[in-house]
Amino acid sequence: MSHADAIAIRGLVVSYGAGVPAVSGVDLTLGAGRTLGVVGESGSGKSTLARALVGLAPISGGSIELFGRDLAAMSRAERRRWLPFHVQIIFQDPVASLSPRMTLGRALAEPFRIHGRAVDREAIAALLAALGLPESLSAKYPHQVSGGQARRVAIARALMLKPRFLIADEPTAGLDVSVQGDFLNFMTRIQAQFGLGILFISHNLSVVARTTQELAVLYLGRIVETGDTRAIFAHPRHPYTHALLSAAPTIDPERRKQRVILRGEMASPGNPPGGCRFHPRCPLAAERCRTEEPQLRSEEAGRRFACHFPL
Amino acid sequence: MSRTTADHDDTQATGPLVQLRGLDVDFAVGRGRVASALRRIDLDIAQNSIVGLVGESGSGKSTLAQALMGLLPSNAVFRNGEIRLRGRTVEPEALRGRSLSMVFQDPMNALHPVMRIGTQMIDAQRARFPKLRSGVLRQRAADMLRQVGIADPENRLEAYPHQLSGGMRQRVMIAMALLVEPDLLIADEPTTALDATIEAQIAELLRLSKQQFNGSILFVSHSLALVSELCDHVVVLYAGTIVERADVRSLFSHPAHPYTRALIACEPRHDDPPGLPMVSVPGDLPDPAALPPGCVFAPRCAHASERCHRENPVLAPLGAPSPGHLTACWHPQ
Amino acid sequence: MEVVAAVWRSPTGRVGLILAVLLVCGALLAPLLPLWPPNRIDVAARLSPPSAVHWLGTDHLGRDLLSRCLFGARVALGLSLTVTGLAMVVGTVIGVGMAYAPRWAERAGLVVFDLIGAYPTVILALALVAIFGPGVNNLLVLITLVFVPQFGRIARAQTMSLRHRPFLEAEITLGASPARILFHHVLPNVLGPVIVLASMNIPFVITLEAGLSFLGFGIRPPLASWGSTLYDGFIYLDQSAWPAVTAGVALSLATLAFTLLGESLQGYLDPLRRSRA
Repeated sequence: MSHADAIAIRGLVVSYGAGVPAVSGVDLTLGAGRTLGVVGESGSGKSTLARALVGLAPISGGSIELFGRDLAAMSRAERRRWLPFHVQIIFQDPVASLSPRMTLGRALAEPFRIHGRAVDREAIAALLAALGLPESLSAKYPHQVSGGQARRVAIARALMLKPRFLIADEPTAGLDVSVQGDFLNFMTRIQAQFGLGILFISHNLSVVARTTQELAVLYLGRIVETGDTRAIFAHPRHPYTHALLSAAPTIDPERRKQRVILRGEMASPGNPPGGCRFHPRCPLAAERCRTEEPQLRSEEAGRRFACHFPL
Repeated sequence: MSRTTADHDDTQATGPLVQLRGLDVDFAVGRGRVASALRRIDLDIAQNSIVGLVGESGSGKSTLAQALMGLLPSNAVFRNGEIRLRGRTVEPEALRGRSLSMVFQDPMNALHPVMRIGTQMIDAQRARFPKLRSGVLRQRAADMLRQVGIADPENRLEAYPHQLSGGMRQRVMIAMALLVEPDLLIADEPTTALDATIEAQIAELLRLSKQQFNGSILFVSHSLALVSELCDHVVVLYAGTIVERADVRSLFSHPAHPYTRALIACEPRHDDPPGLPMVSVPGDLPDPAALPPGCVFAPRCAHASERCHRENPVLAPLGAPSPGHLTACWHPQ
Repeated sequence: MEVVAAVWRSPTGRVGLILAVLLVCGALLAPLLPLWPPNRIDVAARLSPPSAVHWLGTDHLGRDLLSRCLFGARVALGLSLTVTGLAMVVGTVIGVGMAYAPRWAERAGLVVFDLIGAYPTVILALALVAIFGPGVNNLLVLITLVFVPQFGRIARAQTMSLRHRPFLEAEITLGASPARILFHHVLPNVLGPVIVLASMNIPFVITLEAGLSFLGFGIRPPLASWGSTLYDGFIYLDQSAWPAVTAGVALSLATLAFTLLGESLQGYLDPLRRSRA
């Protein structure tokens, strides 16, 4: 398939102050119409990656290319004028992402006002209808509507400038299992409707298994494995992926599942272990892992992993 | 060393350790309105078992945990209900820190931010062991830290909570809860705020701890999957009522209540075919201050009949082959 | 405006609002009302009790007390409202600026705030007046200076807590410029607590001015001031209680009015915040 409409992330490095890289060298491609899942735990850099894609985190190295331009090379002002029309984000807490002092109608008009355009009332109405939201919502404030509705309004606002790509940062966090399905079906529908490429950031593997076609597993700022989601779930190659999959709770009353319990915790990004970043916790760690950092390599098309002794 | 585990836990109940009978809890929510948080809760916790309490937001599971610990907020009205420990009626406040201890969801908020871990752990033991000297208590604390998997415990005792990671703080909380050698340890969503691999560690820790300290655990969670892996008995709560209760195998092999069935169906599985639309339970929770007559789940239930809207079902056994399996439904599946 | 409606709804707020409006009107309209000139001396009528001629009586120089009270209101309210307004504006600008400034500038600003804030307000005001001399203009500048740090701190704290809120980040991702974010989103949210502080501040400034004038460090006579009227009344208390009482009641009412107003404003802002959180 053509990757003409795609975000190409190459060697991305994102450092917050004091030179501590939260993301150190990530290569990813997000194609339009596809859903790419990014999973990892706290400290993995997945949220930082999301923020870098929408200009909320500074790019210290590497490139993010889309539609012929490199985000890393743009000035802040250029980025501010150009990026919102191509990549948007929905935040983890949808109610908090809406200004408490603005009605939802005004919040939806913000994208137009920010860019000095006339507010397109018809477009707003059409988008509200497409997302299943009643017109009466426009007069309400964020704290007056349900969490689910606020979530949809935030998505509507993000889609107002017709971006091609949507970053979803933990979109199901805080959602009960019984309503999660509804929301995910909704996401699938709007993806098809608007032809969006979605970057789905989550720590919830069960959700990611169902909603993404490709998956990238992040550990301490690096990609340890990527590939087709089903393939990874069927046969993970990296020990961390295996542990992560095994850690995800599934309905298992007979206790048949063999759980991999890792020892220790993820190191902090400012002080990564030498050699393979995962070696202190890895059940298969050998001498080579302590000294030599494994590079991402491919053994089959579409699959990459960084391990000296893949599963 | 990391290890793989397969757990086959068989428990022999010798007579319930804890019994709750007819617990009703209401909250005064201002302007004369009263919200019903829990209704007619009947619960048994056997010796040496892990009981899972499953519910989503608004189910009342945290309220139940708080009621057991005597930690209900001031606007709670504990209307009826009895808590019995080994057959004798008790006041939970009297048992806190002795027979009952609790692990909370967010260890950062549950630990005192400006006291060292060691001091807190020593303090936690005083109610239970008033005669022991601080030095002895400190040594017990260090030993327990080692048991819960914290390396270099002597030095860790000097640390402040913010110097530890989330997983470590939760281990400290569990250590504190175990130090008093409780009959019942109540864990209120202890892993919800933790990463998946850390959650696995903590769940494993709880399982091992139960074997060692010979008490029981009440594990409160919104995750049916986690409860299925960890617990011996499961209690399903919806909007303040117990809708189903059974031992874990029985519950998952033939779930009887429509809500339980829906919850199980909603859990995404890794091996589901892609593109399958996901299951949801339509509708919203009822307003606890204005509950519908009849079954509290009826408005959202696909199988609701006229009787369901009229009459509130009582928890009743399903009968053979699983006598311990109870459900509150007029049309159990 | 919903704020006014909310204040009106609370009984104490209503009282505060009515009193404050009456006082402000009285102060504004004083020169237009058919009053005795406030500085008109009439020694023959000195220290007289209320009568048909002098509704509240006269002070030790025969000046009409009603007139002196209303003109004193101009001074008290004029000064306190101006001072508070100025301190609010200057303080907010500095406070918001500090939140965005480089660390060293922020630290320097905090040190200055601490220096000013270390002194008890009245002592500091007295000291400054002793150095720079009394009089309305000096008083204006000096008292403003004394209150700027409080506003600065609140403005800075609010800005800092807002900077990383998700809704601000959402605006950035939508393409909002820093200027837009500052004026459309940060400032309106900062102004809330700042206004509450201002309304709680006004009674304090009124009392401060009265106190300074009482001690002779404030408004120079013959300009009418509640504080100096109170002082003179205090001296001549055995001959007539009226000057002291009128000035005292005026002071109390003014302080009460703005305190009630401030408290109900705070009440309005707090539950709103709680429901948002």
